[in-house]
Amino acid sequence: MRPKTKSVLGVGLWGLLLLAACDFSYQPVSFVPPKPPFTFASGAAVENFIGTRNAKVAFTLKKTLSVQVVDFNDTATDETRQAVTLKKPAGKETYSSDSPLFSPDGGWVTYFVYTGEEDCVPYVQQCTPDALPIQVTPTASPAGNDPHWWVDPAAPHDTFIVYADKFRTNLNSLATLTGSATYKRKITRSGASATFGPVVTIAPKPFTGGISPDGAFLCTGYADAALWDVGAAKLYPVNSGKQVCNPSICPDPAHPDWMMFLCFDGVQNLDETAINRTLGAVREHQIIYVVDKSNRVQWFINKDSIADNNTEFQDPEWSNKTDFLMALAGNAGESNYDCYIIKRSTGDKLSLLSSSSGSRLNDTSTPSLWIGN
Amino acid sequence: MSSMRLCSKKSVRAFFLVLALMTAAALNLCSLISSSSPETFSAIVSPGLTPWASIGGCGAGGSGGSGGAAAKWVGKGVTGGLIDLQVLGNYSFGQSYQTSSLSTRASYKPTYTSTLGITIPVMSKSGLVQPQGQIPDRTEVTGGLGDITIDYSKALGMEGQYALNLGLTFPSGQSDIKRGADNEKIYLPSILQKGGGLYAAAIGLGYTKDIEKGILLFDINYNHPFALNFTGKNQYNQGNGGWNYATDNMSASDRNRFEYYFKPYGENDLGAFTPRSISIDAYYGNKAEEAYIYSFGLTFSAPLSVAWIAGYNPKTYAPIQDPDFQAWSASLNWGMEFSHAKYPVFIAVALPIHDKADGAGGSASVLKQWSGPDLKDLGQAWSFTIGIKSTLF
Repeated sequence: MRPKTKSVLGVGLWGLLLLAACDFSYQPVSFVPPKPPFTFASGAAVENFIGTRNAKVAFTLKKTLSVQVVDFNDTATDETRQAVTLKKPAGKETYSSDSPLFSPDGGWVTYFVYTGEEDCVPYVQQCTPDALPIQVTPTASPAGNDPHWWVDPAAPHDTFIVYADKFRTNLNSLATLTGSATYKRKITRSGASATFGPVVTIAPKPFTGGISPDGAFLCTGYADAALWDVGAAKLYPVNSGKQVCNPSICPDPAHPDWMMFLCFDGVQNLDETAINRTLGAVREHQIIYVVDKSNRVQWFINKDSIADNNTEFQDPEWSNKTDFLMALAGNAGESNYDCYIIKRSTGDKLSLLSSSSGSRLNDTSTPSLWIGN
Repeated sequence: MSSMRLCSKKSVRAFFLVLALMTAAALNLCSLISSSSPETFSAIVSPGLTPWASIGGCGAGGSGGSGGAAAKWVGKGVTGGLIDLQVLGNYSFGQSYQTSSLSTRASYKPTYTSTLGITIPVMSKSGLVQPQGQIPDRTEVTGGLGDITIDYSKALGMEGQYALNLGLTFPSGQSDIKRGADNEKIYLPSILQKGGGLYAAAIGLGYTKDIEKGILLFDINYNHPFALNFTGKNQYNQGNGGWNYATDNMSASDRNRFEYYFKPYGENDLGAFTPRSISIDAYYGNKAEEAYIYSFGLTFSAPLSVAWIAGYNPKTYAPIQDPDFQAWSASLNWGMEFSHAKYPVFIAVALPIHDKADGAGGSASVLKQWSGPDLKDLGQAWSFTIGIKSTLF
């Protein structure tokens, strides 16, 4: 045998033996799934409470600053169901996400991102892990906040995004506020993409609580609460002189001039004759009210009627079904809030999700609920 | 420059050459080819099934039994053209399964002593599946393309009596076949999958010795499965219907199951673990007659660690130790080549033998699993092969 052949074979044989003897010591071990960051109500519990399992919830996390979406009608088991994290807009990974709301078909959300009150930008996004956010506002004038979906009843195939261009109207009187407005843009979706029509001004003031199904009314809060008659261009102050949080317009076409909000502390400036009682002084974030344009309380729920250890509500939001709303409940100053679906007709609640260490819901998690058919 | 230093430099070059070859590619363990002149002997192709890779068990979703034993073509073969073609059909059966396969191998000789080949298997499999102990078993059928292999062999020695064989297997066969009613689909056991979901590199050394009116062939081979992921993400952990396990707080070893580009071990995305393995075989071929050559042989193979199988439920990642793990397997083989200048035909019969497939009992030590032959299964599984060769252009 030639020396070259001998050396090659010898090395090859040694290589074989060496490989076989190498300590490639990997051995699989049983896999224990990580404890999911959230414990969700079971699909059956959701179905028993709202009448269908075809429901989705969107919320934000202070930890990730991103929008999370959970679908109770997906293929996951109750034990493995987790929220899908939506991608952030490019270049805005450090921005906070706020107030995600579902499209009428439940397949998309609209929300806005911000680092401060002056740099809010609204987006729409398909509710899938790979979908990219699409900016609602024009590139030249990106400012916008509190976007809402609206389907024109006169043209049911036309869907719009309605948004304001001012985040808060702290301590300013809406009646005299100028320089801001509420807009709508027609959205056309195709797959995970969307395009927008021209920007149309629908109100000369920033209304952050959405538009009624018939398009007749807008509502707002922060600090002054009010309803706006779009056709008559008339302002209806609500709870004058008292700051409110989280304005949300009624989704019921029969009550376009109703709005929901979360109170601040003290005696509210409301007409309580319709509910046949006087609530008197209340704690901050103790009561969620539904009030009409005539400042009459039509419904309320007291945090104290919910049997848990939390002291306040946060971020109430009407769902697309009139009888259901979402709200957080927690203790002010802490960062561990639970999320509830509340049924208005009975006052019952369903604890929808609770968070574990590392991924807590906080007082700005702004959850919203979509209920399908 | 002295001859001593010259020899040293050549040895060093040879070392790095072999090292580079070993790390670059390898031949599927059952697809070893060595080129030969018409006076020496060609060898081997299996249908692409390696016994120790075809594992699964009853009760955990398996159908029992092993895959087909390897068939080694011992004979003159045929050469002379630009492309050598070989087609091998195999039919194997056991107590609860049967498989049919057709492997086509095309090879080319870039040099007189080297051969480059590709093997493309297609197969049909059926077997009993029992997702859970209390659920009646049922028969499932799969079929299609298996894992494709490419191979390279180099004849060495004055007479080409040595062969260095390298090869690489690609996961072209589907390895996540599911069956069942909507919302109740389960993953089929690995024995019914068309592929392993893994790459595999192999290296082997062969030796051929002519004796009076006969020939002896010996081979030793090492097979090393590994995982490659070009996206960096476990495909089953993504998207709607995926597990969507959050990896943030996982241990490094757990995270590697869901986020990786390369794993130097054979764990696929469903968690099935195919261990490294060694195999050896020895054959005797009788060439007393001009018209035919018959051969007898023994193959033996053993994994170097305990295998794991994927969980049957697509909704969770839950691999377990293979309850039907075989610490070793072997086969007794008989073959006959009907020699022909242009179209030789080969037939073979193999009798698989393996140890008691009773699982590892949770132990990670493969040595502790060695046991005697499973006499209850001996003679219950057989493998038949028929093949034809040709040379083109």
